Amino acid sequence: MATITAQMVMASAAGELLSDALAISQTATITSTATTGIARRPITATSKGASGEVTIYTADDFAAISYIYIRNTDSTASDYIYVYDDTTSGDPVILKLAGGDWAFMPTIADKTLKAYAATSGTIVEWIVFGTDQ
Amino acid sequence: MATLTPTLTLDSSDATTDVLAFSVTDSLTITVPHQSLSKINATATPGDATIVPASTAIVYLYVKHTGTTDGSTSTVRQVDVEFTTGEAIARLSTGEWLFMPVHHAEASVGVNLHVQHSDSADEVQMEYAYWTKG
Repeated sequence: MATITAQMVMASAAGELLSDALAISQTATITSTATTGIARRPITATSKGASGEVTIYTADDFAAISYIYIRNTDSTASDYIYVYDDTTSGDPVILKLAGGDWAFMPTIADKTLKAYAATSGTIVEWIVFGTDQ
Repeated sequence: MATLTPTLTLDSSDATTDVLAFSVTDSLTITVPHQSLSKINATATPGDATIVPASTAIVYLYVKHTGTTDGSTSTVRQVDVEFTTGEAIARLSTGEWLFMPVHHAEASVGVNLHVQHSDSADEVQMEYAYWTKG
């Protein structure tokens, strides 16, 4: 078993979002049995289901919740990466990451997550931390 | 437009052969509407806890499972973060949190919290905030 510490800090100066400053800090300690490590792939698919998608997580790779970090490495904000649920009817998009955006979330173990991009060649970076199997 | 700066740091000395230690940050341009840190009680009925109103915009969403029903009574019920059209996005257990740019490409929908248990008496107190991408 390995231990991963994930810390998130969100900040906004006084007078920006609100009159007062905003500062939120959260830490999670994850006990992980397996990880993909840091992975990077270019996405060449520019629509859902097209050739060149990148699979971020395959349904039932883990039986329990796993944690996913995912980031759009592009420096152009409009080079979006779309992450969709390939298991649920209708394949709903759940994340839209602008260039530079990231997400950190616990997944639902039996749902496959795939990514396509607004611009072919956009590079996605991700890590999966599994907690069982 | 206002700026929100989220930073994520991941550290581990034993997840891989090499030490895992990195940090990513972003500078987000935010517009209205946004909702600062709030609490709501989620139940087994999704419509009881709508935390983001229907929109076609990208919404940066923070959600945390407090591990309690009312701020003091413990619970281990899991809570799904899901679109108001019913598709699940993520599942949070006690003490867990997430941060993500949520977007449903096909429709103007909102986000609900939904306790994963059939007993309608079950409640979980959740913490959340959201910011609309400018």
